[in-house]
Amino acid sequence: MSVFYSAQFLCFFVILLILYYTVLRRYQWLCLLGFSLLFYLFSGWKSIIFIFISSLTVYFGARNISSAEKLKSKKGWMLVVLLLNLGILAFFKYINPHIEGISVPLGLSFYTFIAIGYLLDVYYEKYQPERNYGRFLLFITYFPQLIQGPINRYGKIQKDLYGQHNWDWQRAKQAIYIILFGLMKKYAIANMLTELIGIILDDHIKDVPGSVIVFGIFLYSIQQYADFSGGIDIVIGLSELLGIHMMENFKRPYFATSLDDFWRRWHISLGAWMKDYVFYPIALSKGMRKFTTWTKKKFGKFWARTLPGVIANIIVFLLVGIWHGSELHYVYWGFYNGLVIGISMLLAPVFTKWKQVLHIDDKKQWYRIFCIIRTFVIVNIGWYFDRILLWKDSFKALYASAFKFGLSEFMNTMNPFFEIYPKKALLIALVGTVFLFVNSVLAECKMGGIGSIVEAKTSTRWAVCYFLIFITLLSFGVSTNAGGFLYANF
Amino acid sequence: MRISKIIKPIAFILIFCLINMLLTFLLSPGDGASSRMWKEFREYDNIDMIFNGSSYTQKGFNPYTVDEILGTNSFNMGTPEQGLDVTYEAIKTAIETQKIKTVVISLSAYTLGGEMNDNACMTFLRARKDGMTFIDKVKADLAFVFDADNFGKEKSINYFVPWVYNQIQWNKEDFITNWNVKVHGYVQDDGVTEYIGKGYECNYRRLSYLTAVDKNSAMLHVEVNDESYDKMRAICQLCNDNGIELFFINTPKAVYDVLSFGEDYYFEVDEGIRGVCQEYGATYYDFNLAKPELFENRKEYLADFEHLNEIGAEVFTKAFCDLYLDCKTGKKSAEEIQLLFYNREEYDAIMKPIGEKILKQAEEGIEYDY
Repeated sequence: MSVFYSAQFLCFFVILLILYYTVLRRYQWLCLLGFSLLFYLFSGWKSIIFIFISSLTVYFGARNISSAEKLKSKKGWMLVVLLLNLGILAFFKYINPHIEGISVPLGLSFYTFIAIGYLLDVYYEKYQPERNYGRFLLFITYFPQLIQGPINRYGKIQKDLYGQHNWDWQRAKQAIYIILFGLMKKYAIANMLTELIGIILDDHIKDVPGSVIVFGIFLYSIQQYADFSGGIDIVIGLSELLGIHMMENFKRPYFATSLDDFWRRWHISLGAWMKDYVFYPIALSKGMRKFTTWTKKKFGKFWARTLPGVIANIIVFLLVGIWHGSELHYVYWGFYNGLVIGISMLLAPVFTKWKQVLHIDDKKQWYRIFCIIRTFVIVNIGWYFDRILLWKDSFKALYASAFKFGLSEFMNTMNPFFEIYPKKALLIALVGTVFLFVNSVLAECKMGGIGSIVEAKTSTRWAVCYFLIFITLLSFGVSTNAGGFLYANF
Repeated sequence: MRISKIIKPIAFILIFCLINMLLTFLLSPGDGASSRMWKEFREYDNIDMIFNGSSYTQKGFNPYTVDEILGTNSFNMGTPEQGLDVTYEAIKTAIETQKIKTVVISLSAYTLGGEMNDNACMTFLRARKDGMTFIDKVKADLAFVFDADNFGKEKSINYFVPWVYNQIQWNKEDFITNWNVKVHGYVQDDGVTEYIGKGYECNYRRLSYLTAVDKNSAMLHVEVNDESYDKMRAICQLCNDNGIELFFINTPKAVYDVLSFGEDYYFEVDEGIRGVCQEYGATYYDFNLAKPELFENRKEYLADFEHLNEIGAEVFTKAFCDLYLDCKTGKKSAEEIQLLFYNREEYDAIMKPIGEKILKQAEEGIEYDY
C-alpha cells in the first residue's frame, strides 16, 4: 500500500486534481483515463497489454452480444469472451506462480471481475453496451479500484465516472478523513500486527499452546479487517476527491449476527458479484429447477426450497476461496464458509423451534450480542484455514485450540516472542483497534463515526484528525522493515 | 465567517506544528549519533583522514590514537547502521568541505548485503544538513525525496518527520535521559557507552562466549549480490576521481563468528571484496584473519560478537596504524603484509578449531577460555 503513501503518488494525485478541476474540467473523464493508464504504466508497461486485451474483448464482445439477434449467437459471444478472460486470470493466478519471470498484471483479479460483470449485465440486457471505447476503458482501468477493489458495477458508477464534477470542500473534507482513517487502519493496526502473527502462526505453529494460537488468530482477524478495509477506505476517499462515489465494501462485518450476514458486510462487492453472477444463475438454472422438482417429490417443500440454495452457496464459496489464491487452504476456507451457511439454512426450522421452546425473543439486545459473539467465533474458525498455510496445520491448530489450550503457558510462550517483536507495536495497534471499535459501535448504532465526521464539532474533528495523523506516523517508528526497533538512536 | 475561514486552517496548522514539535522534543534523541557526529565534523575544516561505516567503525577506530601515531587530523564518521549508499554521501560531503587524503571504511558481508536500514539512512542524511545553507538543505531534501529508491515509498514522506524514524526507546530511563540532554544539555553516563570525541564512541561491555550460539552473524539477514558490489565500486570511483587513498577494513568480530556466518560464504564474499579492490586499486584488510603478530583476537577486546570494546578499539587502532605505516613507508612489502593474515588453509588449520570449540562448549554451558 506504499503505492498510495509516497511522494510519487502524492505528486501524481495532486497534479491530477489540479488538472481535473481546472484546465481539463471539460474533459474530466479523459483526464481520468490518461492518469489511470499512467498509473498502470508505473506498475510495469508489459502488464498493460493484458488490461487492453480484457477491455477490447469485453467491449467488442458486449457490442456483439447486444447486436446479435439470435440467443445462440449472444450466448456464443458471451462464452468466448468469458472463457478468454477467465483463462487469462486462471493462467496468472494458478499456473503462473510456478513459472519464473512473469509477474501478475496489476489488479487482474479485480478488473477481470469488473469486466465480466459488465459483459453479463449486457447479456442479461440490464443496459445497453457502452459505445465509446475510451469511456469503457476508463471503467476498467479506473486506477483507485485496481489495487484492492471494490468490484464496481457499470450501471452504478457510469454517471459519476463520466459526469462533470465541481470541487466541493465539504466532500473533500469528508474524503480526507476517510483516507486518514484508512491509513491509520493499514499502518497503525494491520502493519503493527503482521510480524507477531507471523511469529505465532508461521514460525511456531507446531510448538505453541492453543491459547497462543487463538491469540494469533484473534490478532489476524483484526489485522485482516484493518488491512483490507483500510485500503478500501483510502481508495474510496481518493475517489470521493474526484467526485466519484464507489460502492461500500465493508460494513462493520464483526457486528454480523450470522455468517450469511457477515458476507453481506465483508468484501460486499465480491459477495454481490458472486450472488448476481454465480449464485442466481446456478440456483435458477434449468438443471437446478429439475433438481428442485425432484426434491419436492422426494422430501417435501422445505427441502425443495432450501437445498438448491445450499448447493449454490457451497459452489459460490468454493469459488470465493479459489479467487483468493491457488493454495489448497483457501479452498478449504471457502468450503468451510459455504458449508456453515448451508447447514444453517437447513437447520433454520430447528433453530426457530428452539427459540420458541426456550422463549427466546430474538429482538432482544442480549440475543443480538450473543449472535454477534457466536458469529465472530465461527468466522475466526474459518480464519484458521485462511491464514495457516498448510491445511494439516490448520486442523492441528484447531485441535490444540480446543483440547490443548494451556492458558497457564501463555505468558511463558509469548515472552521470548517479545524479544524479537517490539511491545510498542502492540500498544499502537491496541490504541488503533480501540478507536476502530468505538467508531464501529457509533456507526452501527447510527450515532456518528468517521462517515459523518464533517458534521461534528470543530474540536472533535480536529482531535480525530490529529489522532489519525500522529498514530499513523508513530507506527512508522516501529516499522520492522527498517529495523528501527533494533537500534533506538541513530 | 470569512475571517474564520482564514483563521481555522492557520490554527489547524499551528496546532499540528506544536504537536509535532512536542513529539520531536520528547521522542527524538538529543544526542543522536548522526547529529552529534555531523555537528562536530562541521567544526573542522582540515580533516585529512576519515573513518566511515557503521557502528563497527564508530566503536572501532579511535581518531585521537590515529592522530598521535600517524600525525593526521582524522575523524570518525561512523554511525549505527550506516550503509554504503550513505557512506558514499558522507565521503562526498567530506571531500567538498575538508582536505581528505585517506578514507577508511569498515566493511563486512553485513555492510554489503544486510537489509538497508531506512531509519538510519534518513537520520544520517538529515543530520548532514546541519551547517548547510538553506538552498543546499532544500536541494538535499529534494535529492532524497526524488531519488528512485525513495520516491515511490513511504520514506519519501516520512523523511520530513524526524521523530518518526529516529526515536528513543519508550521507557522511563530513556525519557529522563533525553530530557536531561535537551533541557540541561548534559549526557548521562550510562556506564555502557561513552562518547569520546571526533565521532568515536567507546563501548564498555564485555563479550561472554556463552552467548556464542544465540548471538552471532547467522541472525543477520545477509544477501550479497551484484548491487552490493556496485555500491562499493561507486565509492572506489569517487575516491579515485579525487585522488584519495581508500582502505576497506573488516574489523575484528568474535573468533567463532566466521563459522556462525558460514565459512564458505564468508570467504566467497571476502574474495568478492578483494576483486573489487583490485579493480580500483583500493586496499582491503580482513582483521578477522589477522595473525597474532598483527592483532590477536581475544574475547577481552570485544563488547559483543561484532563490536570492539574500549580496550579492543585501542589495540586494533594501533594495529591498523602500524599496518598503515608499514604500507606507506614501504617497511614491509605487499607480500610481507599478506603474510600477516591467514589464508583459507591456515584459517582452517588454526582459527577454525578454536571457533568450533567455543561454539561447542557454549552449547554445553561452558565458557571457553581463549
